[in-house]
Amino acid sequence: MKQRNTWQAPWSYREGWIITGGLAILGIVWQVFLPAFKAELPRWPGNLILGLFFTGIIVSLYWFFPKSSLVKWLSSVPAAVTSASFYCGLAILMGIIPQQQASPSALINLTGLNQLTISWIFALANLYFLSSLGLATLKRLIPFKKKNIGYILNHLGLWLALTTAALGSSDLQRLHMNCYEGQPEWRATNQQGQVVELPIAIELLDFKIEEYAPKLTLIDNQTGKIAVTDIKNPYFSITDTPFQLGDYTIEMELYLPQAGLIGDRFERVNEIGSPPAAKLIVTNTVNQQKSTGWVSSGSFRQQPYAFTLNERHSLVMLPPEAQKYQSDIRIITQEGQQLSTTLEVNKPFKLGGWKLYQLSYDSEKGKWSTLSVIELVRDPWIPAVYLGIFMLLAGSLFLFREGTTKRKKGENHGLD
Amino acid sequence: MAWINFEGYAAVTLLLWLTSGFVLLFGKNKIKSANKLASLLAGAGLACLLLFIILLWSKLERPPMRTLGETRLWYAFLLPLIGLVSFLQWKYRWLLGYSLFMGALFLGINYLHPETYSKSLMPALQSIWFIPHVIVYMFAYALLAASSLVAVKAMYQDYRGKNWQTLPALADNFVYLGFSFLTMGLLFGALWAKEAWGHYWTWDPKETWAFITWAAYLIYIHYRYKHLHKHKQAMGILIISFVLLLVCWFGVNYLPTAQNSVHTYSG
Repeated sequence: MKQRNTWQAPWSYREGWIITGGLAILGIVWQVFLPAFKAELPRWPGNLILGLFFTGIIVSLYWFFPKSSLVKWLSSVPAAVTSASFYCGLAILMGIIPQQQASPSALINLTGLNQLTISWIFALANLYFLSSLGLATLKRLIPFKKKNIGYILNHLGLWLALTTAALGSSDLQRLHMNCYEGQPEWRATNQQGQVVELPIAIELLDFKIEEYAPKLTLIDNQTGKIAVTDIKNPYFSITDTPFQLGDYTIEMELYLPQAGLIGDRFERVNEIGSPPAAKLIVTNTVNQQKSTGWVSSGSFRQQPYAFTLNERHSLVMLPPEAQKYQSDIRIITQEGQQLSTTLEVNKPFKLGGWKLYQLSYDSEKGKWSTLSVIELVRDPWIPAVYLGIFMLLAGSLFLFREGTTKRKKGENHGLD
Repeated sequence: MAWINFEGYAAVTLLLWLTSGFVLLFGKNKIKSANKLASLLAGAGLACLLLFIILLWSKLERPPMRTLGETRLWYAFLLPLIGLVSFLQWKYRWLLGYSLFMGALFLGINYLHPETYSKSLMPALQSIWFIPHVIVYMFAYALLAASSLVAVKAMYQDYRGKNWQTLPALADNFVYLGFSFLTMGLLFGALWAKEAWGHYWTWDPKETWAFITWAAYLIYIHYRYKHLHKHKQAMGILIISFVLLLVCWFGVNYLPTAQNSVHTYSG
């Protein structure tokens, strides 16, 4: 077979790698010398126009020049492999270099590798990948054949999800709102730290936390670190008593979910900031000595209280972990309409084009927090992204079927 | 409260798998009954491990899928399961043997790194997506590990100058199955992230590495499609892809980017 020269049709891997390298250099140079000209997409309707323009170019290329070497090559496997490798390589950089923060290396800051998703090299990799994927999709989409359904679901689904996710990123709004109990709030902060006034107000009626039972552990008095490190579980929940920890058997005599220190003992109290406390009976299994004492996790109001067993060891109680937290809120619209709902992690609330999320609270105050941070998200492109995602999910079933078919040696797979 | 005796169940499972491995290795004169006995022993080991997982689940009062150790436990169950099913289907003795070995290895790692068996489950994980997301991913990882076993076997056969031309087709089977699960796991994760964190994709380090893994297997599939007879290169891609998968699963925690991850609780 005669040796093919570079750029002589049909193009293959060599050209693919050259194009990848060229785009990478172009992206870096652009980033370094034209930093003011950012790789940012316009907002609605600019992004829609851009998307239609891009789709228009791909479709016209396929329609008018189906036999051109560019179209043939972009829709070929070498282009798919090189563009996916380009994308994958950038993702590896993204997975190693911490993102969205200044890097100690001036070179990384200069080339934008610490903010890859908004860098030119990433934009160009996307463009190359989506052009190749788009043309590969069109090749099997027109003319439509039933046997290509799996292929179309996978390729068109991925193209749709990636393209609309990229275009929609400029319309995505993520706002944080600090809601204090009893105070209607309509100002929120966007990701750039600017205050945004909303056409709705949110009033936090009640913020609630359910907590797991607190855990106990044994610490070394000298170092303050966990003393028993060679066993399975250095933490035991209060509910697991009696249990063995190092050379001690620990039993619980009394548990007070809300307690206050009075003298050298704890009593049940009902005040804000009263932490849990427990009275424990500890038996040293070496010398059979028994002792009784209190532990408390402490809170923003009270100091933690440790049970000093001897000069070496103390028992301490860890602050209880949150099992569930939720905000009862009232939403008031500008027209004066009111509605009440409860926000919880993993249970957002839909309102118009917005989704409301329980984000966080004042973690220092824990269950006595009167602050609830609510996130408001608006992402108008999400139906298109989800259409792509569901097409991919359907497409994955076709791949599954492919995987259960046994091939004979040398037989090409039936993905086509 | 009495904690579940992991060592006991692990010991019984390991013993059964070891015996199964011996039968596979030495029971070659009466191949039919040896195969049957090996399958039975491997299956009994699986049943023992499954029993442990079920008991653990009920004792923890949450799905045992939160920590890396818990995912290793599923892996130690699923990989030999896949080995056994493909053995019953296609009669690859070495594959069952290696998958039992890998399963035993992961049980061994869990023995050396004891679990904390904490009952708490952070609110973000309390979702209907939690179980499907993790199970589907573990299936994908186990299937893709099986494909890597095939690739390593192929490379070894090549090194010894033996014929291995039928192996890449078997690797393909595992990759297609594994990749279909990998896609589902990735997308379930995206759909869940939208409900829990407000956005389906934020390039969190774990997401980034999941994407890298996914892209690597995507490259393998496309390479195989075009170059069905360049077996050596394809097996090379497969091994690199599995290394990337391992970075995604364990390695992420050791990278400088990990501090920003929402997935660090799995460490």
